[in-house]
Amino acid sequence: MPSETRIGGSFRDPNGFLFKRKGEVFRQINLAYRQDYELLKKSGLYKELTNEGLFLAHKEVDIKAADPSRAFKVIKPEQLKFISYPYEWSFSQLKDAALLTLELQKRALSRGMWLKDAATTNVQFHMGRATLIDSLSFEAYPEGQPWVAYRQFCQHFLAPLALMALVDIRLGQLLRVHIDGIPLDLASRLLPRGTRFNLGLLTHIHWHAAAQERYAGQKVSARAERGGMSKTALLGLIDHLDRTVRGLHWEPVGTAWSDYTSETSYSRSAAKHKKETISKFITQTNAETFWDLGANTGLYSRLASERGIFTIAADYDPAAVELNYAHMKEHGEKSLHPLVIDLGNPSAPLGWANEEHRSLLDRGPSDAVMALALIHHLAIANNVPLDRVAEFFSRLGDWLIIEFVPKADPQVQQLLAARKDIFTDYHVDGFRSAFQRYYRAVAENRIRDSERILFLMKRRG
Amino acid sequence: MKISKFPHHTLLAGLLILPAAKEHPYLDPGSGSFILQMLIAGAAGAVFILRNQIARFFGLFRRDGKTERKAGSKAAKKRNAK
Repeated sequence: MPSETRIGGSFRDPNGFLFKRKGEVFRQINLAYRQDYELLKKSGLYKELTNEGLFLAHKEVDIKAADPSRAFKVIKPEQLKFISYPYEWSFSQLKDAALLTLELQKRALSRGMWLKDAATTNVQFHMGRATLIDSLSFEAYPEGQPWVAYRQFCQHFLAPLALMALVDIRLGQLLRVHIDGIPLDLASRLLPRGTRFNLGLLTHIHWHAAAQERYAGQKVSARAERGGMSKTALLGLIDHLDRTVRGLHWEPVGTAWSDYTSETSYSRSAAKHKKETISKFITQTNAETFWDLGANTGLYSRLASERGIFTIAADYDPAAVELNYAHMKEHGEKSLHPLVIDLGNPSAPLGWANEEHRSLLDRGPSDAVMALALIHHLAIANNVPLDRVAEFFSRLGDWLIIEFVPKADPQVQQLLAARKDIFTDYHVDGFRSAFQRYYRAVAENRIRDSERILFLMKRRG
Repeated sequence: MKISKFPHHTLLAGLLILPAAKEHPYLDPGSGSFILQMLIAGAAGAVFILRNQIARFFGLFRRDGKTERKAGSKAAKKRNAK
Protein backbone atom coordinates (compact mmCIF):
# COMPACT_ATOMS: atom_id res chain seq x y z
CA MET A 1 0.00 0.00 0.00
CA PRO A 2 1.45 3.44 -0.94
CA SER A 3 2.42 5.69 2.01
CA GLU A 4 0.54 8.62 0.43
CA THR A 5 -2.97 8.60 -1.02
CA ARG A 6 -5.35 11.30 -2.24
CA ILE A 7 -8.67 11.22 -0.42
CA GLY A 8 -11.42 10.29 -2.83
CA GLY A 9 -14.07 12.89 -2.10
CA SER A 10 -11.93 16.04 -2.31
CA PHE A 11 -11.02 16.29 -5.98
CA ARG A 12 -13.75 18.60 -7.29
CA ASP A 13 -12.55 21.88 -5.80
CA PRO A 14 -9.51 23.21 -7.72
CA ASN A 15 -8.49 25.20 -4.64
CA GLY A 16 -6.97 22.16 -2.96
CA PHE A 17 -7.42 18.57 -1.89
CA LEU A 18 -6.96 16.17 0.99
CA PHE A 19 -4.28 13.55 1.14
CA LYS A 20 -3.21 10.95 3.65
CA ARG A 21 0.43 10.46 4.50
CA LYS A 22 1.65 7.93 7.06
CA GLY A 23 -1.86 7.55 8.44
CA GLU A 24 -2.44 11.30 8.95
CA VAL A 25 -4.73 13.55 6.93
CA PHE A 26 -3.37 16.77 5.37
CA ARG A 27 -4.88 19.33 3.04
CA GLN A 28 -2.95 20.95 0.23
CA ILE A 29 -4.09 24.52 -0.40
CA ASN A 30 -3.41 25.56 -3.98
CA LEU A 31 -2.10 28.94 -5.11
CA ALA A 32 -5.57 29.60 -6.58
CA TYR A 33 -6.94 29.89 -3.03
CA ARG A 34 -4.15 32.09 -1.64
CA GLN A 35 -6.11 35.37 -1.43
CA ASP A 36 -9.19 33.76 0.09
CA TYR A 37 -7.09 31.87 2.63
CA GLU A 38 -5.32 35.06 3.67
CA LEU A 39 -8.66 36.85 4.00
CA LEU A 40 -10.05 33.99 6.10
CA LYS A 41 -7.21 34.52 8.57
CA LYS A 42 -6.99 38.33 8.36
CA SER A 43 -10.73 38.92 8.71
CA GLY A 44 -10.80 37.08 12.05
CA LEU A 45 -13.39 34.64 10.70
CA TYR A 46 -11.17 31.59 11.15
CA LYS A 47 -10.40 32.51 14.76
CA GLU A 48 -14.01 33.28 15.63
CA LEU A 49 -15.37 30.04 14.18
CA THR A 50 -12.67 27.70 15.48
CA ASN A 51 -12.88 29.23 18.98
CA GLU A 52 -16.55 28.36 19.04
CA GLY A 53 -16.09 24.86 17.63
CA LEU A 54 -18.05 25.65 14.46
CA PHE A 55 -15.11 25.10 12.12
CA LEU A 56 -12.41 22.43 12.30
CA ALA A 57 -9.11 23.95 13.38
CA HIS A 58 -5.88 23.27 11.50
CA LYS A 59 -2.17 23.97 11.72
CA GLU A 60 0.06 25.08 8.88
CA VAL A 61 2.78 22.50 8.50
CA ASP A 62 6.13 22.61 6.79
CA ILE A 63 6.08 19.37 4.83
CA LYS A 64 6.37 18.53 1.16
CA ALA A 65 3.13 19.17 -0.72
CA ALA A 66 1.48 16.29 -2.56
CA ASP A 67 1.39 18.39 -5.76
CA PRO A 68 4.18 21.00 -5.31
CA SER A 69 3.61 22.76 -8.66
CA ARG A 70 0.20 24.09 -7.52
CA ALA A 71 0.76 24.29 -3.78
CA PHE A 72 0.49 27.42 -1.65
CA LYS A 73 0.46 25.73 1.75
CA VAL A 74 -0.11 22.41 3.43
CA ILE A 75 -2.29 22.34 6.53
CA LYS A 76 -2.96 19.58 9.01
CA PRO A 77 -6.58 19.67 10.18
CA GLU A 78 -7.55 18.30 13.57
CA GLN A 79 -7.85 14.57 12.88
CA LEU A 80 -11.36 13.14 12.78
CA LYS A 81 -12.06 9.71 14.21
CA PHE A 82 -14.81 8.85 11.75
CA ILE A 83 -16.43 10.24 8.60
CA SER A 84 -20.18 9.77 8.31
CA TYR A 85 -22.59 10.58 5.49
CA PRO A 86 -25.97 12.34 5.52
CA TYR A 87 -27.96 9.16 4.82
CA GLU A 88 -26.46 7.85 8.08
CA TRP A 89 -27.73 10.83 10.08
CA SER A 90 -30.96 11.14 11.96
CA PHE A 91 -33.38 13.96 11.18
CA SER A 92 -31.99 16.29 13.84
CA GLN A 93 -28.39 15.61 12.86
CA LEU A 94 -29.19 16.71 9.30
CA LYS A 95 -31.16 19.68 10.62
CA ASP A 96 -28.26 20.75 12.86
CA ALA A 97 -25.85 20.46 9.93
CA ALA A 98 -28.21 22.67 7.86
CA LEU A 99 -28.52 25.29 10.60
CA LEU A 100 -24.74 25.28 11.07
CA THR A 101 -24.26 25.95 7.35
CA LEU A 102 -26.63 28.94 7.50
CA GLU A 103 -25.02 30.26 10.66
CA LEU A 104 -21.59 30.07 9.02
CA GLN A 105 -22.92 31.93 6.00
CA LYS A 106 -24.23 34.74 8.24
CA ARG A 107 -20.99 34.97 10.21
CA ALA A 108 -18.91 34.94 7.03
CA LEU A 109 -20.99 37.73 5.46
CA SER A 110 -20.36 39.90 8.51
CA ARG A 111 -16.63 39.58 7.79
CA GLY A 112 -16.66 40.11 4.03
CA MET A 113 -16.74 36.43 3.03
CA TRP A 114 -19.33 33.78 2.17
CA LEU A 115 -19.69 30.06 1.66
CA LYS A 116 -18.90 29.09 -1.90
CA ASP A 117 -20.43 25.65 -1.38
CA ALA A 118 -22.96 24.11 0.98
CA ALA A 119 -22.59 20.34 0.72
CA THR A 120 -23.61 17.98 3.50
CA THR A 121 -20.18 16.34 3.30
CA ASN A 122 -18.59 19.64 4.38
CA VAL A 123 -20.06 18.97 7.80
CA GLN A 124 -19.05 16.27 10.25
CA PHE A 125 -19.93 15.53 13.85
CA HIS A 126 -16.81 16.30 15.83
CA MET A 127 -16.70 16.26 19.63
CA GLY A 128 -20.44 15.67 19.62
CA ARG A 129 -21.50 18.60 17.46
CA ALA A 130 -21.87 19.59 13.82
CA THR A 131 -18.65 21.20 12.58
CA LEU A 132 -17.57 22.53 9.20
CA ILE A 133 -14.56 20.50 8.09
CA ASP A 134 -13.85 21.94 4.64
CA SER A 135 -11.11 24.54 5.10
CA LEU A 136 -11.66 25.80 1.52
CA SER A 137 -15.37 26.63 1.81
CA PHE A 138 -15.04 30.38 2.39
CA GLU A 139 -14.23 32.94 -0.27
CA ALA A 140 -14.36 36.74 -0.55
CA TYR A 141 -17.98 37.88 -0.84
CA PRO A 142 -18.63 39.19 -4.36
CA GLU A 143 -20.97 42.05 -3.40
CA GLY A 144 -24.24 42.04 -5.28
CA GLN A 145 -24.27 38.41 -6.39
CA PRO A 146 -26.92 35.83 -5.53
CA TRP A 147 -25.66 32.94 -3.41
CA VAL A 148 -23.74 30.53 -5.60
CA ALA A 149 -24.50 27.60 -3.25
CA TYR A 150 -28.26 28.26 -2.90
CA ARG A 151 -29.20 25.36 -5.20
CA GLN A 152 -26.79 23.05 -3.40
CA PHE A 153 -28.12 24.02 0.02
CA CYS A 154 -31.72 23.35 -1.02
CA GLN A 155 -30.83 19.98 -2.60
CA HIS A 156 -28.53 18.78 0.16
CA PHE A 157 -30.44 20.00 3.20
CA LEU A 158 -33.86 21.54 2.71
CA ALA A 159 -35.34 18.97 0.32
CA PRO A 160 -34.39 15.87 2.37
CA LEU A 161 -35.43 17.53 5.63
CA ALA A 162 -38.82 18.49 4.20
CA LEU A 163 -39.37 15.00 2.80
CA MET A 164 -38.31 13.33 6.06
CA ALA A 165 -40.52 15.61 8.16
CA LEU A 166 -43.58 15.81 5.94
CA VAL A 167 -43.69 12.58 3.92
CA ASP A 168 -41.70 9.74 5.48
CA ILE A 169 -38.56 9.67 7.59
CA ARG A 170 -37.13 6.91 5.37
CA LEU A 171 -36.89 9.30 2.43
CA GLY A 172 -33.61 10.50 3.95
CA GLN A 173 -32.24 7.40 2.24
CA LEU A 174 -32.74 9.11 -1.13
CA LEU A 175 -29.42 10.80 -0.35
CA ARG A 176 -27.73 7.45 -0.92
CA VAL A 177 -28.80 7.55 -4.56
CA HIS A 178 -28.55 11.32 -5.03
CA ILE A 179 -25.23 12.15 -3.42
CA ASP A 180 -25.37 15.69 -4.81
CA GLY A 181 -28.66 16.23 -3.03
CA ILE A 182 -32.26 15.42 -3.91
CA PRO A 183 -33.27 16.95 -7.24
CA LEU A 184 -35.77 19.71 -6.49
CA ASP A 185 -38.25 18.60 -9.13
CA LEU A 186 -38.37 15.20 -7.43
CA ALA A 187 -38.79 16.78 -3.99
CA SER A 188 -41.52 19.05 -5.36
CA ARG A 189 -43.45 16.07 -6.76
CA LEU A 190 -43.10 14.02 -3.59
CA LEU A 191 -44.11 16.73 -1.12
CA PRO A 192 -47.82 17.00 -0.23
CA ARG A 193 -49.81 19.68 -2.05
CA GLY A 194 -50.36 21.45 1.25
CA THR A 195 -46.68 22.45 1.37
CA ARG A 196 -47.51 25.09 -1.27
CA PHE A 197 -49.10 27.03 1.59
CA ASN A 198 -45.78 27.04 3.46
CA LEU A 199 -44.02 30.14 2.09
CA GLY A 200 -40.54 28.70 2.69
CA LEU A 201 -41.22 25.41 0.92
CA LEU A 202 -43.24 27.13 -1.80
CA THR A 203 -40.32 29.42 -2.58
CA HIS A 204 -37.25 27.26 -2.01
CA ILE A 205 -38.59 23.94 -3.26
CA HIS A 206 -41.63 24.35 -5.52
CA TRP A 207 -40.82 27.67 -7.25
CA HIS A 208 -37.15 26.78 -7.20
CA ALA A 209 -37.84 23.52 -9.05
CA ALA A 210 -40.08 25.34 -11.54
CA ALA A 211 -37.44 28.04 -12.11
CA GLN A 212 -34.80 25.37 -12.72
CA GLU A 213 -36.99 23.74 -15.32
CA ARG A 214 -37.94 27.00 -17.00
CA TYR A 215 -34.48 28.60 -17.20
CA ALA A 216 -32.31 25.50 -17.58
CA GLY A 217 -29.14 26.30 -19.50
CA GLN A 218 -29.90 30.00 -19.99
CA LYS A 219 -27.13 32.45 -19.27
CA VAL A 220 -27.62 35.12 -16.64
CA SER A 221 -26.63 38.62 -17.72
CA ALA A 222 -23.45 40.08 -16.26
CA ARG A 223 -25.24 43.22 -15.14
CA ALA A 224 -28.00 41.30 -13.42
CA GLU A 225 -25.54 38.90 -11.76
CA ARG A 226 -23.32 41.65 -10.41
CA GLY A 227 -26.12 43.76 -9.02
CA GLY A 228 -28.81 41.10 -8.78
CA MET A 229 -28.93 40.79 -5.03
CA SER A 230 -27.94 43.27 -2.34
CA LYS A 231 -26.27 42.05 0.84
CA THR A 232 -29.44 42.85 2.80
CA ALA A 233 -31.48 40.74 0.38
CA LEU A 234 -28.97 37.92 0.69
CA LEU A 235 -29.18 38.10 4.49
CA GLY A 236 -32.95 38.04 4.10
CA LEU A 237 -32.71 34.90 1.98
CA ILE A 238 -30.46 33.18 4.55
CA ASP A 239 -32.82 34.25 7.35
CA HIS A 240 -35.78 32.85 5.43
CA LEU A 241 -34.01 29.55 4.78
CA ASP A 242 -33.13 29.43 8.47
CA ARG A 243 -36.75 29.92 9.51
CA THR A 244 -37.93 27.35 6.96
CA VAL A 245 -35.47 24.74 8.27
CA ARG A 246 -36.35 25.53 11.90
CA GLY A 247 -40.02 25.07 11.04
CA LEU A 248 -39.48 21.43 10.06
CA HIS A 249 -39.96 18.90 12.85
CA TRP A 250 -40.09 15.17 13.18
CA GLU A 251 -41.18 13.30 16.30
CA PRO A 252 -39.63 9.84 16.67
CA VAL A 253 -42.77 7.77 17.07
CA GLY A 254 -44.26 4.82 15.29
CA THR A 255 -41.12 2.95 14.25
CA ALA A 256 -40.25 -0.50 15.47
CA TRP A 257 -37.94 0.19 18.40
CA SER A 258 -38.50 3.73 19.54
CA ASP A 259 -40.07 2.56 22.80
CA TYR A 260 -36.90 0.63 23.58
CA THR A 261 -36.03 2.65 26.66
CA SER A 262 -39.02 1.10 28.39
CA GLU A 263 -38.18 -2.38 27.14
CA THR A 264 -39.00 -5.27 29.42
CA SER A 265 -36.64 -7.99 28.15
CA TYR A 266 -34.81 -7.94 31.48
CA SER A 267 -35.63 -7.82 35.13
CA ARG A 268 -33.90 -5.07 37.09
CA SER A 269 -31.26 -7.45 38.44
CA ALA A 270 -30.65 -8.94 34.98
CA ALA A 271 -30.20 -5.48 33.47
CA LYS A 272 -27.74 -4.59 36.24
CA HIS A 273 -25.80 -7.81 35.71
CA LYS A 274 -25.73 -7.23 31.95
CA LYS A 275 -24.32 -3.73 32.43
CA GLU A 276 -21.67 -4.93 34.88
CA THR A 277 -20.57 -7.74 32.59
CA ILE A 278 -20.34 -5.47 29.54
CA SER A 279 -18.35 -2.90 31.53
CA LYS A 280 -15.92 -5.60 32.58
CA PHE A 281 -15.57 -6.80 28.98
CA ILE A 282 -14.99 -3.25 27.70
CA THR A 283 -12.15 -2.85 30.19
CA GLN A 284 -10.57 -6.06 28.90
CA THR A 285 -10.61 -4.83 25.29
CA ASN A 286 -8.61 -1.69 26.15
CA ALA A 287 -10.33 -0.15 23.09
CA GLU A 288 -9.91 3.43 21.89
CA THR A 289 -12.58 3.09 19.20
CA PHE A 290 -15.79 1.17 19.72
CA TRP A 291 -18.69 0.34 17.41
CA ASP A 292 -21.97 -0.64 19.00
CA LEU A 293 -24.08 -2.29 16.29
CA GLY A 294 -27.81 -2.41 16.89
CA ALA A 295 -27.22 0.19 19.60
CA ASN A 296 -30.78 1.42 19.71
CA THR A 297 -30.93 4.53 21.91
CA GLY A 298 -27.37 3.99 23.14
CA LEU A 299 -28.03 2.71 26.65
CA TYR A 300 -25.10 0.26 26.50
CA SER A 301 -22.98 2.34 24.06
CA ARG A 302 -22.57 4.82 26.90
CA LEU A 303 -20.73 2.22 28.95
CA ALA A 304 -17.91 2.81 26.46
CA SER A 305 -18.39 6.47 25.49
CA GLU A 306 -18.63 7.64 29.10
CA ARG A 307 -15.05 6.45 29.58
CA GLY A 308 -13.97 8.73 26.73
CA ILE A 309 -13.80 5.89 24.17
CA PHE A 310 -14.91 7.17 20.76
CA THR A 311 -18.11 5.19 20.19
CA ILE A 312 -20.28 4.72 17.13
CA ALA A 313 -23.83 3.83 18.15
CA ALA A 314 -25.38 2.43 14.98
CA ASP A 315 -28.97 1.36 14.52
CA TYR A 316 -31.22 0.86 11.53
CA ASP A 317 -34.15 2.60 13.21
CA PRO A 318 -34.09 6.38 12.60
CA ALA A 319 -36.32 6.91 15.66
CA ALA A 320 -33.85 5.23 18.00
CA VAL A 321 -30.98 7.23 16.52
CA GLU A 322 -32.98 10.44 16.82
CA LEU A 323 -33.61 9.76 20.52
CA ASN A 324 -29.97 8.84 21.04
CA TYR A 325 -28.80 12.08 19.38
CA ALA A 326 -31.27 14.15 21.43
CA HIS A 327 -29.93 12.55 24.62
CA MET A 328 -26.28 13.12 23.76
CA LYS A 329 -26.96 16.75 22.81
CA GLU A 330 -28.86 17.40 26.01
CA HIS A 331 -26.03 15.95 28.09
CA GLY A 332 -23.20 17.49 26.06
CA GLU A 333 -21.65 14.09 25.34
CA LYS A 334 -18.55 14.33 23.17
CA SER A 335 -17.48 10.74 22.52
CA LEU A 336 -20.69 9.25 21.14
CA HIS A 337 -21.68 9.30 17.48
CA PRO A 338 -25.20 7.93 16.80
CA LEU A 339 -25.75 6.78 13.21
CA VAL A 340 -28.52 5.21 11.13
CA ILE A 341 -27.00 2.06 9.65
CA ASP A 342 -28.80 -0.99 8.33
CA LEU A 343 -26.40 -3.89 8.82
CA GLY A 344 -28.38 -5.91 6.30
CA ASN A 345 -27.32 -3.35 3.70
CA PRO A 346 -24.48 -1.21 5.14
CA SER A 347 -23.31 1.98 3.44
CA ALA A 348 -21.51 1.22 0.16
CA PRO A 349 -18.73 3.04 -1.69
CA LEU A 350 -20.43 5.74 -3.78
CA GLY A 351 -19.74 8.55 -6.18
CA TRP A 352 -17.05 9.00 -8.81
CA ALA A 353 -14.94 5.85 -9.22
CA ASN A 354 -16.73 4.56 -6.11
CA GLU A 355 -14.36 6.69 -4.08
CA GLU A 356 -16.28 9.77 -2.93
CA HIS A 357 -18.16 8.04 -0.11
CA ARG A 358 -16.48 5.14 1.63
CA SER A 359 -18.18 1.93 2.65
CA LEU A 360 -18.77 1.16 6.30
CA LEU A 361 -16.17 -1.61 6.15
CA ASP A 362 -13.60 0.73 4.64
CA ARG A 363 -14.04 3.15 7.55
CA GLY A 364 -13.05 0.45 10.01
CA PRO A 365 -11.81 -1.55 11.62
CA SER A 366 -12.67 -0.46 15.09
CA ASP A 367 -10.78 -1.73 18.13
CA ALA A 368 -13.93 -3.37 19.44
CA VAL A 369 -17.40 -4.20 18.17
CA MET A 370 -20.46 -4.86 20.29
CA ALA A 371 -23.64 -6.61 19.12
CA LEU A 372 -26.26 -6.95 21.82
CA ALA A 373 -29.57 -8.64 21.09
CA LEU A 374 -28.76 -8.40 17.40
CA ILE A 375 -27.79 -11.91 16.35
CA HIS A 376 -31.38 -13.16 15.99
CA HIS A 377 -32.26 -10.22 13.75
CA LEU A 378 -29.38 -11.04 11.43
CA ALA A 379 -29.63 -14.84 11.55
CA ILE A 380 -33.40 -15.27 11.62
CA ALA A 381 -35.08 -12.10 10.36
CA ASN A 382 -32.40 -11.59 7.69
CA ASN A 383 -31.55 -15.28 7.01
CA VAL A 384 -27.78 -14.68 7.29
CA PRO A 385 -26.00 -17.92 8.31
CA LEU A 386 -24.17 -17.62 11.63
CA ASP A 387 -20.70 -18.21 10.14
CA ARG A 388 -21.31 -15.33 7.70
CA VAL A 389 -22.25 -13.05 10.58
CA ALA A 390 -19.04 -14.08 12.39
CA GLU A 391 -16.93 -13.45 9.27
CA PHE A 392 -18.47 -9.98 8.74
CA PHE A 393 -18.01 -8.95 12.37
CA SER A 394 -14.40 -10.15 12.28
CA ARG A 395 -13.74 -7.62 9.49
CA LEU A 396 -15.19 -4.77 11.54
CA GLY A 397 -13.03 -5.03 14.66
CA ASP A 398 -10.47 -6.94 16.72
CA TRP A 399 -12.62 -7.55 19.77
CA LEU A 400 -16.25 -8.65 19.86
CA ILE A 401 -18.75 -8.39 22.69
CA ILE A 402 -21.79 -10.32 21.57
CA GLU A 403 -25.03 -11.47 23.15
CA PHE A 404 -26.57 -14.75 22.12
CA VAL A 405 -30.36 -14.80 22.28
CA PRO A 406 -31.67 -18.39 22.29
CA LYS A 407 -34.67 -19.60 20.33
CA ALA A 408 -36.83 -19.85 23.44
CA ASP A 409 -36.50 -16.09 24.01
CA PRO A 410 -39.81 -14.24 23.42
CA GLN A 411 -38.10 -11.88 20.96
CA VAL A 412 -36.94 -14.80 18.80
CA GLN A 413 -40.33 -16.47 19.11
CA GLN A 414 -41.91 -13.27 17.82
CA LEU A 415 -39.69 -13.43 14.72
CA LEU A 416 -40.68 -17.05 14.15
CA ALA A 417 -44.38 -16.50 14.80
CA ALA A 418 -45.46 -16.34 11.17
CA ARG A 419 -42.82 -18.46 9.47
CA LYS A 420 -41.44 -21.97 9.41
CA ASP A 421 -38.42 -22.55 11.67
CA ILE A 422 -35.71 -23.52 9.17
CA PHE A 423 -32.91 -22.42 11.49
CA THR A 424 -31.70 -25.79 12.74
CA ASP A 425 -28.19 -24.46 13.52
CA TYR A 426 -29.49 -21.59 15.61
CA HIS A 427 -28.53 -22.75 19.11
CA VAL A 428 -25.69 -21.85 21.43
CA ASP A 429 -23.42 -24.70 20.24
CA GLY A 430 -24.03 -23.77 16.62
CA PHE A 431 -23.23 -20.19 17.54
CA ARG A 432 -19.98 -21.15 19.31
CA SER A 433 -18.93 -23.35 16.43
CA ALA A 434 -19.61 -20.65 13.80
CA PHE A 435 -17.74 -17.95 15.70
CA GLN A 436 -14.73 -20.01 16.76
CA ARG A 437 -13.53 -20.14 13.16
CA TYR A 438 -12.87 -16.40 13.33
CA TYR A 439 -12.54 -15.69 17.05
CA ARG A 440 -10.91 -17.02 20.17
CA ALA A 441 -13.36 -17.10 23.09
CA VAL A 442 -12.08 -15.01 26.00
CA ALA A 443 -15.05 -14.97 28.37
CA GLU A 444 -18.63 -16.20 28.52
CA ASN A 445 -21.26 -15.06 31.05
CA ARG A 446 -24.89 -16.04 31.22
CA ILE A 447 -27.00 -13.05 32.19
CA ARG A 448 -28.60 -13.49 35.59
CA ASP A 449 -32.33 -14.46 35.51
CA SER A 450 -32.12 -14.90 31.74
CA GLU A 451 -31.27 -17.49 29.08
CA ARG A 452 -29.17 -14.99 27.17
CA ILE A 453 -25.38 -15.29 27.16
CA LEU A 454 -22.72 -12.59 26.76
CA PHE A 455 -19.47 -13.52 25.03
CA LEU A 456 -16.17 -11.68 24.79
CA MET A 457 -14.07 -12.79 21.81
CA LYS A 458 -10.78 -11.80 20.23
CA ARG A 459 -10.25 -12.09 16.51
CA ARG A 460 -7.83 -14.80 15.41
CA GLY A 461 -4.59 -13.90 13.68
CA MET B 1 -45.45 16.63 -16.27
CA LYS B 2 -45.24 20.25 -15.09
CA ILE B 3 -44.14 20.68 -11.52
CA SER B 4 -45.74 23.94 -10.62
CA LYS B 5 -46.49 27.11 -12.49
CA PHE B 6 -43.66 29.54 -12.15
CA PRO B 7 -44.88 33.13 -11.78
CA HIS B 8 -44.24 35.22 -14.89
CA HIS B 9 -42.31 38.38 -14.43
CA THR B 10 -41.49 41.12 -16.87
CA LEU B 11 -38.17 41.80 -15.13
CA LEU B 12 -36.88 38.45 -16.31
CA ALA B 13 -36.04 39.71 -19.76
CA GLY B 14 -33.19 41.81 -18.37
CA LEU B 15 -31.75 38.97 -16.33
CA LEU B 16 -31.11 36.65 -19.25
CA ILE B 17 -29.07 36.44 -22.44
CA LEU B 18 -25.62 37.99 -21.77
CA PRO B 19 -22.55 35.99 -20.70
CA ALA B 20 -21.98 35.35 -16.99
CA ALA B 21 -20.16 37.95 -14.92
CA LYS B 22 -17.90 35.79 -12.79
CA GLU B 23 -16.42 32.40 -13.32
CA HIS B 24 -17.26 30.33 -10.30
CA PRO B 25 -14.50 27.96 -9.38
CA TYR B 26 -16.35 24.68 -9.58
CA LEU B 27 -19.93 24.83 -8.41
CA ASP B 28 -22.70 25.32 -10.97
CA PRO B 29 -25.14 27.70 -9.28
CA GLY B 30 -27.86 26.85 -11.84
CA SER B 31 -29.54 29.54 -13.94
CA GLY B 32 -32.97 28.95 -12.42
CA SER B 33 -31.54 29.12 -8.88
CA PHE B 34 -29.81 32.42 -9.67
CA ILE B 35 -32.86 33.96 -11.30
CA LEU B 36 -35.19 32.89 -8.51
CA GLN B 37 -32.93 34.58 -5.95
CA MET B 38 -32.89 37.80 -7.97
CA LEU B 39 -36.67 37.72 -8.22
CA ILE B 40 -37.25 37.26 -4.52
CA ALA B 41 -34.37 39.56 -3.50
CA GLY B 42 -36.58 42.61 -2.95
CA ALA B 43 -39.10 40.80 -0.79
CA ALA B 44 -36.39 38.93 1.15
CA GLY B 45 -34.55 42.17 1.90
CA ALA B 46 -37.71 44.05 2.88
CA VAL B 47 -38.91 41.30 5.23
CA PHE B 48 -35.43 41.07 6.75
CA ILE B 49 -35.30 44.81 7.46
CA LEU B 50 -38.83 44.80 8.83
CA ARG B 51 -38.16 41.86 11.13
CA ASN B 52 -35.00 43.51 12.44
CA GLN B 53 -36.86 46.77 13.07
CA ILE B 54 -39.63 44.95 14.94
CA ALA B 55 -37.07 43.00 17.00
CA ARG B 56 -35.24 46.24 17.83
CA PHE B 57 -38.50 47.98 18.75
CA PHE B 58 -39.54 45.25 21.18
CA GLY B 59 -35.96 44.95 22.42
CA LEU B 60 -36.24 48.52 23.76
CA PHE B 61 -38.86 47.39 26.24
CA ARG B 62 -37.03 44.28 27.34
CA ARG B 63 -34.62 44.83 30.17
CA ASP B 64 -33.08 41.39 30.16
CA GLY B 65 -32.53 41.72 26.41
CA LYS B 66 -30.09 44.60 27.08
CA THR B 67 -28.34 42.63 29.78
CA GLU B 68 -28.00 39.69 27.47
CA ARG B 69 -26.50 41.79 24.71
CA LYS B 70 -23.99 43.32 27.12
CA ALA B 71 -23.02 39.92 28.45
CA GLY B 72 -22.70 38.68 24.90
CA SER B 73 -20.33 41.45 23.92
CA LYS B 74 -18.19 40.87 27.00
CA ALA B 75 -17.96 37.20 26.15
CA ALA B 76 -17.01 38.08 22.60
CA LYS B 77 -14.25 40.42 23.82
CA LYS B 78 -12.95 37.72 26.13
CA ARG B 79 -12.91 35.22 23.28
CA ASN B 80 -11.05 37.55 20.98
CA ALA B 81 -8.50 38.33 23.68
CA LYS B 82 -7.51 34.66 23.94
